Amino acid sequence: MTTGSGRRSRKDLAATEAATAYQKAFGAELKRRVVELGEPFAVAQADTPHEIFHVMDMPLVTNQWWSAYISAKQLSGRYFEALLERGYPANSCKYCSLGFACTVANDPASAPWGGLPKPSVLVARLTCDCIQHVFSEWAQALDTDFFPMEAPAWEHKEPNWFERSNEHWEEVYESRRIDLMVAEMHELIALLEEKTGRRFSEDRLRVLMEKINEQESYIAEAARMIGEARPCPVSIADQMPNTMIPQWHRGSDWAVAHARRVRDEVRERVKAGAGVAKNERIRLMWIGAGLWHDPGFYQALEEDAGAVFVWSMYMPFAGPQYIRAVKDEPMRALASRICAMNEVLHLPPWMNSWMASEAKRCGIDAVLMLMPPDNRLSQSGTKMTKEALEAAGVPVLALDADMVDAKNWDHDTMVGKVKGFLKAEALL
Amino acid sequence: MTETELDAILSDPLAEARAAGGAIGYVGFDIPQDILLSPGLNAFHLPWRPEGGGAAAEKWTESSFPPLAKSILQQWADGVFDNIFEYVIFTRGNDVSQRLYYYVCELQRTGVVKGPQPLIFDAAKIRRASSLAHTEDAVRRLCAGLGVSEEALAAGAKRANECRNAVAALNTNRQGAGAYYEKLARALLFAAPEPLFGPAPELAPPPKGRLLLAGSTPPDGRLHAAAARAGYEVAGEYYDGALLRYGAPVNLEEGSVERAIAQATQDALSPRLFADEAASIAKAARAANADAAIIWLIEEDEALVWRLPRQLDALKQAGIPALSLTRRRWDAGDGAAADIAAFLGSLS
Repeated sequence: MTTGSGRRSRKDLAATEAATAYQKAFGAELKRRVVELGEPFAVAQADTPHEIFHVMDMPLVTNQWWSAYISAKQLSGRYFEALLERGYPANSCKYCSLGFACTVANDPASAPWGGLPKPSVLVARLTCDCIQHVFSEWAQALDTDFFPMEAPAWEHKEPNWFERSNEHWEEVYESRRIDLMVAEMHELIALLEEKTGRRFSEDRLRVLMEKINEQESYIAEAARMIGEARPCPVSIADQMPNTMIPQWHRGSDWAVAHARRVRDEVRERVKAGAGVAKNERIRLMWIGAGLWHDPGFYQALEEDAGAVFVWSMYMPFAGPQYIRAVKDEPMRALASRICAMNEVLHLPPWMNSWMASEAKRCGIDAVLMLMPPDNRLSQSGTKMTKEALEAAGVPVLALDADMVDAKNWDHDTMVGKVKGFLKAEALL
Repeated sequence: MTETELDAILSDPLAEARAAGGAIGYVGFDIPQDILLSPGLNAFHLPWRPEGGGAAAEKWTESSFPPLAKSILQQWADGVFDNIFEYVIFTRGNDVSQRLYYYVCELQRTGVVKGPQPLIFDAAKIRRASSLAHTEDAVRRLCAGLGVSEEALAAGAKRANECRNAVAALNTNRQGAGAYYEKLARALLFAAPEPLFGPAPELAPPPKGRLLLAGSTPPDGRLHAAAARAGYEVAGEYYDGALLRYGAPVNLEEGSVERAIAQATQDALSPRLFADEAASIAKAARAANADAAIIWLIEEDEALVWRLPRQLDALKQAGIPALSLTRRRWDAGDGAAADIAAFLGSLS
């Protein structure tokens, strides 16, 4: 299934190499703690309160990171086949189920770390109808607990949520939704304390939240500079790792320092007039998760077409969705960060309003939009967003492809398709 | 009620809502009957067309939205529901319904469509105290939004329990002619229930065997008809749009009515139900005295299909031969009838 046509990406920031090296070392340390020392650890979706685990110094494997790791090793096809052989669906959400597929395949010789050992708990927010089934099955396969978290309805609809979310989160995200998540976080903490013997401290959370605010403010500043600068100083190939790797470690000394370093390096490049492409002509926006099996795709059109990917959600998301005025209520502030993390990226009016606003802010000429064929959650809101962008004069090309499963992806074909689209829109 | 009378309801599913004036619409099978049957509310499910949506629906919904959702959105855009429904309730207990809620809200906000005011029933399904309390609050909020008083809700719950008992009696005495019960289940979405619970017509026993139909809710009785043509009658359904959506009577003797309704909501069959689905399907098959089972899942289903391996194992252990049809077209225009006939033919 996996074709392996993906290309590596070029990195322009020195910080990127440092981040990658840190993550590699962290991966090794995580493996040591989890596999060799047998420390209790958790597997959790990206949109869950990782801060709780950090406060409790509990190792955490993020499912999306694990999926990207497997995908980057070109193993997704083999593992999805194993899932099919067991009678599970072919049209599954690949991003969420790849980790489970790896467990089902049960092939220590190929699996990262030789396969996941038994975690203390699996944690997921129920943002779609499939995730509870995937994680329930996974928990049974690993003989452990699954702690689901609700993704309640959101009745307060504020299209410009991103302008008020840092300070007025109680209103923007609805008190009753925050109430539920706070209750669930207390329940999760109780479970973790019981299973691991470790203790949670709200004081430590308060400190962590402030450090996260500092970290995310650097990233937000970098995102602002990148959007304003001409030419684009840093492509999304550098933006993604420099946002997401610190994000996995949010609030740690390293993460804060790294975010500051990224901000500084971006500022230097802007000051020096350094651009990603020699002759920037087209500014592109990428909507969707990272294309983990072909990161080189983002740079394929830089040289001959001057087409630069200026925007992906990861870096600009840091400001509006992570920074929170703590107001001496760290649990509520944290809940407000988590309780709509997925919704604002996949549901109207939040998704379309934010992305149209971002396209304008960054001077975007055209948009490529990932449309995973078997994933309602990832598809959701894309047509309305496309319409909003096109209404603003920004053409959009939807790509029928998946972020971790390369079966429908061929690098050269897709690059050709994008070229054709840009020509058709008279941008090339 | 006769089959002809059910056909009359189904031929114009908006008739009662139209006649009621200012009716309440709903989308989703786990919205509590207790609220829907409150005095003076006149609540009916929005109808769908088996062929799905049209240009407007395709413009706004992605490929993973099922035809039922596209059909409802298309009708909404066409103004079919204007001046019939005052409010339409969507459920958070189903991913499709909740996304449709946001889409309709946005289309109304931007002035693209008009129509009834969308509301959402914020069902939380995790079997934890916090989720139960949240659902209890959702019951109260929905009642407040609809102007349903505590007394009216209690009366609605009493009426819903009477319906539940009537459904249970129907199921106990059920014999053959699955198409009748399929029509009854569907007609109950579009009409006041009590007149429909009269004695079922005398029905001939199935010539070859009894079948359990499970998985996605079909658009109408076409799968039942396919089974009947092969000499089998659907003797029980295990999908969320079937009669079992009424569930067991809620306990109104202990605690608040809202709490009892919230508890029943958590137990309702839905894609987000937390339950041992393998045991449940085997139980449903035994209750139907089924000789075989068919689990039919549409292409757009992304939840129930994860239960399939365990459900097939459970049926196998129960000695019930089963056919799974996955990734199928909702209109069954992909040869589902032939597949069903071939499977049932192989049994005899």
